[in-house]
Amino acid sequence: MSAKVVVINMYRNTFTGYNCFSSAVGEYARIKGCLDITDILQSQWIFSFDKELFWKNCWYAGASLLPVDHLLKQDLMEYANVSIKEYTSTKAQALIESKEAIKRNKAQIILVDFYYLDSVNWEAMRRFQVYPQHDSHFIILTKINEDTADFIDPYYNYKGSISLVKLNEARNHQTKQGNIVYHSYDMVLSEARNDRLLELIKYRFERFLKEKMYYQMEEFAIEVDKKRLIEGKNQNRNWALDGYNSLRSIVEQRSNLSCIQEKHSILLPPGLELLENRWSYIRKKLFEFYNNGPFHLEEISYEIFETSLLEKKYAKEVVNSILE
Amino acid sequence: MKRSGGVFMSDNEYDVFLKLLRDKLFTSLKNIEITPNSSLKEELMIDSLNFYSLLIDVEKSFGISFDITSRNAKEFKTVGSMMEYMDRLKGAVVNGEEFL
Repeated sequence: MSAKVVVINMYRNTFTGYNCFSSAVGEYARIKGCLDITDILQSQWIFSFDKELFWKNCWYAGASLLPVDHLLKQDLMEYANVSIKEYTSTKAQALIESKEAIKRNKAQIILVDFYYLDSVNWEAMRRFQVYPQHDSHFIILTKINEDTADFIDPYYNYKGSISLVKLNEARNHQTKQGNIVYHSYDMVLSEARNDRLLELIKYRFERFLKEKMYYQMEEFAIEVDKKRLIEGKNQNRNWALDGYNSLRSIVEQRSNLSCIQEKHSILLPPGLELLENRWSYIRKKLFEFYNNGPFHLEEISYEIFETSLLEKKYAKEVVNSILE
Repeated sequence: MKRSGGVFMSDNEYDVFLKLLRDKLFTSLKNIEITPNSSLKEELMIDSLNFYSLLIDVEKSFGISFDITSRNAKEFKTVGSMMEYMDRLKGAVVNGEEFL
């Protein structure tokens, strides 16, 4: 007998991006019936790390999002002929514009303060001392009702509704990543194309090497070890949860590329699964440390460092193997 | 959910595992029937934080160490595949047909 699923307002088939921006863009493209660009979104290969943000306990220090993923915007423009336009609005106009956008496009991408959303199971999060914070986050509005709005939060696989009062707060708030002023986004998809995927994958790995993104991974490892040396055993461990959160992006990227490889029978060198597993292991270790686990920062730092070397090696292998 | 012989995990261990698993569920899913086919992500809705928490709890309770830790891995697709993986880590060979 199979499990009986209780419906708890969850949405299970949302688009899997590698951050909330790419997830919202992918879900929006799906709603608009433009599946051509989803491969572009799911073959991303980037990593960024900001030392200063890391020491300020900002989870997005390594998440490739600040809050808009500019590299993805560039890639979409250059390789898929898709442009993303950003708009701001006012309290008086925002709702009217949303209704019009939804009427025109079936949906509207908006930027909100995550603090006001119920997309994650806060009840469960509280067990780990994780509470809502004021972070910028991309969601998709799908319907404006009399007192509520329906939305999809693809990054958290969630579909639900929010009161218009709360939505207004969420769309006009100061967050850790900047001020949100009724931001919304539209995509020009009419000329979208997806015939340069292999070329794009190669370009992305070349960019990874050229911009020394593997070195930013090494920097991450170095800063983790500094936490051990400078702050010692009795340190505040909240940063480890931020590190854990930020590394979700890199795991999703590797998982997504594996799917793209299979979908299009692209012959990439073996190693994607190993990299995905290593980053997952590092996330597990960071979470374990955060959750009053053993003081194994030296091991975590070493794992990140070793993985960065494998990342560099793998990127070189990809660049040398495709489109030759 | 019952299991027959040939599986390394004892009834007691099995109960421990189910308890650890149930602890990670949404309140609204606490009474859900769990079978070997229950998918961790889609049906039991185990999010990543609870997933890693489950791995850590299982490692402590069962004295094993997961070498595969990706939530997307086939080993963590269903309750049954996770149990088989746990059995493998304990050095046992499990016949996948032996769940009733």
